[in-house]
Amino acid sequence: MSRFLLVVPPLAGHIHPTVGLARELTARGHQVAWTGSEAVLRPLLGPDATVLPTGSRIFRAQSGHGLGALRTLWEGFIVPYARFTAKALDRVVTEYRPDVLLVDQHTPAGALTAHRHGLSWASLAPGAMEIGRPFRALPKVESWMTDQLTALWLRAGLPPREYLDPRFSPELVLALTAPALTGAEPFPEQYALVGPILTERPADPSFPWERLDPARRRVLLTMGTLAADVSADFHARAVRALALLGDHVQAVIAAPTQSLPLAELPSDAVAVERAPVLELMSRGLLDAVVCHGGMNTVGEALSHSIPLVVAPIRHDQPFVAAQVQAAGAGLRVPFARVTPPGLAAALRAVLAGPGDGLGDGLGDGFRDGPCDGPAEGPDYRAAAARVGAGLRSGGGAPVAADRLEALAGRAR
Amino acid sequence: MNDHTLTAARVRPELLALLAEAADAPPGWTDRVTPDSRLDADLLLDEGELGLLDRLLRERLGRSVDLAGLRAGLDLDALEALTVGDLERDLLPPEPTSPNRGRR
Repeated sequence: MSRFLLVVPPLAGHIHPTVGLARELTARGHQVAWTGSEAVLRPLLGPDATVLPTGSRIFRAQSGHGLGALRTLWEGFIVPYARFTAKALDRVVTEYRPDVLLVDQHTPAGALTAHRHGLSWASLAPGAMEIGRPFRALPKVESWMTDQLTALWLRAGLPPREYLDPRFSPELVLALTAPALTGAEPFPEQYALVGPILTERPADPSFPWERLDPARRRVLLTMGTLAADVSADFHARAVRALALLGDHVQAVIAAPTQSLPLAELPSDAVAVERAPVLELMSRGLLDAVVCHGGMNTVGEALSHSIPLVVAPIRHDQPFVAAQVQAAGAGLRVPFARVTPPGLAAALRAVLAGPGDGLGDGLGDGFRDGPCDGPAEGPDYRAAAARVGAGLRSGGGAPVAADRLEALAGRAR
Repeated sequence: MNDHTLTAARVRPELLALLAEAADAPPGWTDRVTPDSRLDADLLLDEGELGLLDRLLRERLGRSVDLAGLRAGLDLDALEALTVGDLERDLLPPEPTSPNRGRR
């Protein structure tokens, strides 16, 4: 039996995959504890989880677009959160005495603490942000990130000559993705691309399953829980796009009510704050997903062979969107600029398989629009199934647990 | 660096066309693009779109029009501040002069 400590940020999308991993480790007889903000962790993990609190404070992890969002992420969250949790993590590690720490890439203080205590640690990369090096073309931006991590290292009192990038454990990097979504760049041998760890997120218990119409194609619109600051205008355009698809498509929308143009919602649309996304997917009730390109949603959709229309907002999302489109598993549209007809055209394209004739029923001018190809266009569903098979072949939670067990074995 | 200067708030049409293509922009989007428009915070071009713009600039205006090279030399502050006018000034060849078209 080994003892694992999961160091996670107070971000639901980063916490959800650890739930499935912890279940796997616990089933194998290991002890698992989370450390972070109990105020965020407890509602997501339930009353029985072991949570070792570091205290809670409001941080602005996500806002805006592009490079401004990158600056906010680092200066408004990663660095101050690392400083805020440093002492508490030291206490947690001293008291819990883990064999291995699994450290989310957004919580570098966990790696610094492990190094100080001489403990083995693995990195957890829930997204593609660091794995794919989306800013490799901007060396001064990469240096800017490294400078901040180096400053944290020195602030922690660790010797400069021992510096290790706290985002990348030299022993194990667990990445919840697959080569189809990371590009062709080879990875060092300590990287394990295990694919998504599918864990159902808390959903609205009153989800109206009876309103889903089996005779129609269903499109899920979900732009993530952290994009409310910029999503209202996109939601308005997306609702108009879904209306343009006509009676053969039913919209399922997961979004805060205040961000939706309620008067414009199609009468048959199902709109909830939180949808049971995995259950909808696993029951075969979704034909396409419109999302922002968060790795959780993309991985889950592709694992269920569902094509995507991705409107990336920030961080790794443009990179993920480009990979989805390059793999043929969906289309990328510009979040800030796509028009309702443009989004509708992209949806028509991913909903229609080549030669299946289904496009004929999807509203007027099915083949019209900027995303159209010839009548025998790309088969997005087939490509989504192909990429999904690649994601599943990573092995998910069981392979991740294998790798962590091996690391714990070496640590003894 | 080119020595021509911007003296009016309009953008050269060839650059506007490439910006619109890279941005996959709807009709009318370029009406709001000025030399002061920042590529990041105003036009909301992400890294993928800027990569496409770089390719389009090289293909249409010549291999020396190197947006990627320009951006690679900038730090985060400068990248956030980079404007359409900067691209005109630092990357585009001088506009050809003609009897009917003076300098802007």
